Amino acid sequence: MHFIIGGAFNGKRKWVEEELKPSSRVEISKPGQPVPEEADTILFTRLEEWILLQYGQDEDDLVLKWKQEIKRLLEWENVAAVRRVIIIGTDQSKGIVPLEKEQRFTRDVLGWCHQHTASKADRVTRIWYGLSEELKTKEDLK
Amino acid sequence: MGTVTTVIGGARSGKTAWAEREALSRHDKTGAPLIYLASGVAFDQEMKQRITRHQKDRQNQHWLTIEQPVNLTGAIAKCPVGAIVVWDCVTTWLTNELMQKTEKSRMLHDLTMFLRTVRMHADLYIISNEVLSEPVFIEGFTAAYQQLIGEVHQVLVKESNHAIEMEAGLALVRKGGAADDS
Repeated sequence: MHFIIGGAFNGKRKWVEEELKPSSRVEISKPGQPVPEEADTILFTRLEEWILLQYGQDEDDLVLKWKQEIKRLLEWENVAAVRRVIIIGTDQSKGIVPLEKEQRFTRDVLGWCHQHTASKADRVTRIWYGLSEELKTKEDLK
Repeated sequence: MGTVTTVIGGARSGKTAWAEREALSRHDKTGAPLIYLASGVAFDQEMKQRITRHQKDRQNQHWLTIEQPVNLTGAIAKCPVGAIVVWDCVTTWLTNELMQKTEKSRMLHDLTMFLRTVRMHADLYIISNEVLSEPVFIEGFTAAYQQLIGEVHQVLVKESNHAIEMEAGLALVRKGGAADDS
């Protein structure tokens, strides 16, 4: 599992398309979303939009749902060597605390989800205006 | 052929001070004229104070200030050959252009034109604000502005010899090794 993290409009998707060249990918944006049989890459995007829609629910329950989703994705990936999971995360963590309760909720839950994703991923890449920085590689895990 | 260095950082992260220091040390070595290309215009008291603070920081040094709030290409001819130019800053320029309802394609064209022409005969230090590490707006003026800044930053980093991310006064080199090499 490869986790790509960076601010909005930093060129994350462009980097994924150009550097990772995912072949028969399916893009999903909701935990539990079904994956067609023929796909060999799952691209998970826009987690923040899903979180915002869950506003009002318990924060810990949501993080738990995300942990289950990560488990599902890893199990799917482990079925065949060709399979690959790429998760793009939009960092919202470094600005002023948002005034709107929904935005604070999303920002908090997203931050916890990103932490978990990074801990489970075997590769973490940060994108900063088109430049990539490897934060974690398979070598670090050994 | 000059070098282009882009510095992107949050508010009060020390990006202007860093760029000015780098420019000064280059000036000490080469004696090249120092140009401060200012995008800010003093339209209110707060802006006046901000400008005064930055001007004080540059006191007793040989800076020539060029004020160019909009129409960036107009600054090209004002930058002398061999100069060291510090442009402060990209986000202010973008705001000024957006206030005038300048087309996005025009802004990107002006920026590229400015970069490619000035670097032929001068060294450039470009300062910009980090504004994309927080929740972005979904629609409206701010959303368009954030998207434009993201695109502009990607262009700047791509065109630059050196790209620096500024964190609390620390210059993190993202591209091009030490900013002193040319």
